[in-house]
Amino acid sequence: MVVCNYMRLVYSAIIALIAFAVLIQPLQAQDITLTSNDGKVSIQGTLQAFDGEFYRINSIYGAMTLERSAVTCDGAGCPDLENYVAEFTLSGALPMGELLMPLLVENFAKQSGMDLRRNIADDLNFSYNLQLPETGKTVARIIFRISNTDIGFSKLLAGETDMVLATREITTSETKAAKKAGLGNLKNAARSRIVALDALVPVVAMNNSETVISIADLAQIFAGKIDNWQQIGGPDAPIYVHLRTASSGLAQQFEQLVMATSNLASMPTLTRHQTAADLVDAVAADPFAIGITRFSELGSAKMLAIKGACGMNFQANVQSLKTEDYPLSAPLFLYTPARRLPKIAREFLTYLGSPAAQRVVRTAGFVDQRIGKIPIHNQGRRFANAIAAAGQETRLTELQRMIGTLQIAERITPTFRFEAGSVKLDAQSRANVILLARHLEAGKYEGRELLFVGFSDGMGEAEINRKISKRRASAVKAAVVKAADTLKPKQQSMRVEAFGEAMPMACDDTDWGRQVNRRVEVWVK
Amino acid sequence: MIFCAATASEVELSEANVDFPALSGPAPDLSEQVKRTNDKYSLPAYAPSQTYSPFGLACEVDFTAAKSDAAMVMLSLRAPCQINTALTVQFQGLMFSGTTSNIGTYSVLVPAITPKSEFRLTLAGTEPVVASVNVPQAGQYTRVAVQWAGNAELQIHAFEFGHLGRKKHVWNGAPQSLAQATQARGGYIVRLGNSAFPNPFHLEIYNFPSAKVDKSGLVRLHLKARVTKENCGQAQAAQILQNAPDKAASVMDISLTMPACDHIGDYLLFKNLLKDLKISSNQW
Repeated sequence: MVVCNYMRLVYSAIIALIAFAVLIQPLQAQDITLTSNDGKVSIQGTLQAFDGEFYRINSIYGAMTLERSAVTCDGAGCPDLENYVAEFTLSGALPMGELLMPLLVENFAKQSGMDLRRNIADDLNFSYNLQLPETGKTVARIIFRISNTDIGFSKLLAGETDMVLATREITTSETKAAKKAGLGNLKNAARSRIVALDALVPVVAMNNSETVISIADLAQIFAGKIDNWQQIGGPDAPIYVHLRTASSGLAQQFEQLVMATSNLASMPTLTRHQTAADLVDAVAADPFAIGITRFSELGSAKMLAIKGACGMNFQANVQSLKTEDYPLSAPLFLYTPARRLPKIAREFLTYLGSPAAQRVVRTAGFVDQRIGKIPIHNQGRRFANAIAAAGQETRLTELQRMIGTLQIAERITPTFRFEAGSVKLDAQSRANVILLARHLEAGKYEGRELLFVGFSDGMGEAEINRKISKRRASAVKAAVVKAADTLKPKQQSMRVEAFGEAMPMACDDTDWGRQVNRRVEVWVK
Repeated sequence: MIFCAATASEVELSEANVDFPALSGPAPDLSEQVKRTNDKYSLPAYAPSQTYSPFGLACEVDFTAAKSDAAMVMLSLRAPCQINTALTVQFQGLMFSGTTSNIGTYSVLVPAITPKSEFRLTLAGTEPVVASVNVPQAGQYTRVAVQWAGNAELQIHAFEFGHLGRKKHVWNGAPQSLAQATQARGGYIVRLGNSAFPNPFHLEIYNFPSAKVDKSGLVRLHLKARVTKENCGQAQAAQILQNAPDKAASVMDISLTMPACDHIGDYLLFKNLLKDLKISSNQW
């Protein structure tokens, strides 16, 4: 099977040995001989894979990865270097695979100056050929296998995909299984990224008179405990409830973010839909229907705002998704394994963070991750809330200090929030750390002062809350500075401020309300 | 063929009792007569190098493009010496086939994709002729196109949702008219290309007056492809183009995997290939 002609093998400088497994195009196992360019070293083995840049062979020394440019290949099993087509596969969630990722691939090809052909087996299985415009020669193939997030991860474990499209974060058990399969720690920032921002939104038909709904009522309706619109102040008519199929990331997130927080589960009799498009079309046609969809797929249905018990409503929009002030945010993730991907796949990943890709995200109806400014006149409502909520604990002097500090500054959209009952930043906030760090490195705020402003919920003593919120703001600032590798000391002036419970966003009477309130905002002076 | 508004109680007209002059068949050859006529009179000047059609018209090609309603363009061709001749029209990466009449004329109404539109018409065996026109209103329309060659059947199906969730289905079988668009009530289908010649180019365009409608809503777009004896068990090639108002678009090649030949006559449905149109206005 494996034979080695030359026992002395010390030319490691010529032959790159890479620890990661290369598994892009499994090939028929065939014996090949790879000879170094100076002819001094040659290795025989069975070719396992070739990704256009590297050979991976099984030799008597074990698995080896050799750089294409450093060796020549002899034998029937050698790949056709001239006509090599790099390929990679994306598997997973429908909301990403049906429109967003295909548009990104199309724009990526355009940016790279390549022609495209889309080969379609059906709506869930298709691929793109990237072709050189001069010759029409296919140089890369990008394959889509659309199902749902669960199946996307299981395909990654089975070695059948290179990227997972996920509408939710990876679970602990999936992370463990991936580690065990040698795919690395998928929770690591290098293995996961947010492609676009999105959110769960309740929808009704345009001719339904409701405009807001509380999370508690929503949970009661989906559990079947409220079944007539009259019970929430509407007409005497039954409520028809619509949700995506149970295996969808959307339905799973809804159970977790809405139902579980009320200790309820959705009733078995509600109408399930294969796609969000089917769901919104059904809801839009029925004035007595309610459904849960994504902000990116509203169809011609009407979105309801989320009602907080203290009269503060949360409307999903570009700004409230970027700041996560809207409580049911649900960003879209892309996971990659810790193995070497073909060059074209790595280029595609780099492209995803580019301004061009962010523009495509917006065109596709999703929310991008560009940093936005929130003008001071949009803060009026929040300052009014602060005054309304002020009482024995938050004194006038503290309010004046807050308004004095913030009114000469401008809030920007990156906001840092924490996982439920934890001091760990949530996924979107972790992405914001990197995003803000890149902006600091690029000198976007040079000459201005950056304020990391901590806020807390109102549970417990005000003074303790102020201290906790200051500690959180310091931690966020430290994380951003750490992530900004090339930022020179003193290049960016930064300061930490904290106002504890002085400016609540929501009421503290619910878990989600407290979670919305516990935050670190970024203001630029 | 007669289209008559008369009711059945009035005089019944049919092809049997109306005597039409025959327009088909060989045209009278008047070219020699024209040459002789020109010997006697000074105008029009007879150029010895000029050739003439059987009707005595100079063998010239005149091709014009004129702006029409709903950001459409009327293309008109006069080519008296190329009667019953196959032609192709190309614009913005799109293409369709046609045929000149038995007096060498051809006219067709084509949607403008961009405000500055150039049309290139090629008569079989000759150099292309070009006509261009400015259609500033083109930016108000969303155009969704699919084109293919040969004997296949592809269809755009548009489901237009009114703001109360009511749905109107627009497709080649219920194409709606251009008046829908000029009155900002919805979209319409234009199908171009004929199959009188082998391997014709077909083009279907769905047109929606995005910038004119004053309601928010949605148009879901599906593509259907028929399994035929020509494409069964193979890939059906086509191209799609989708522009949004004021946004440049380019044509993309697609290749549809068709099922085996025991499915001839079936239709494949693709829901994710064409991007749904989201219509928004400030009203909501």
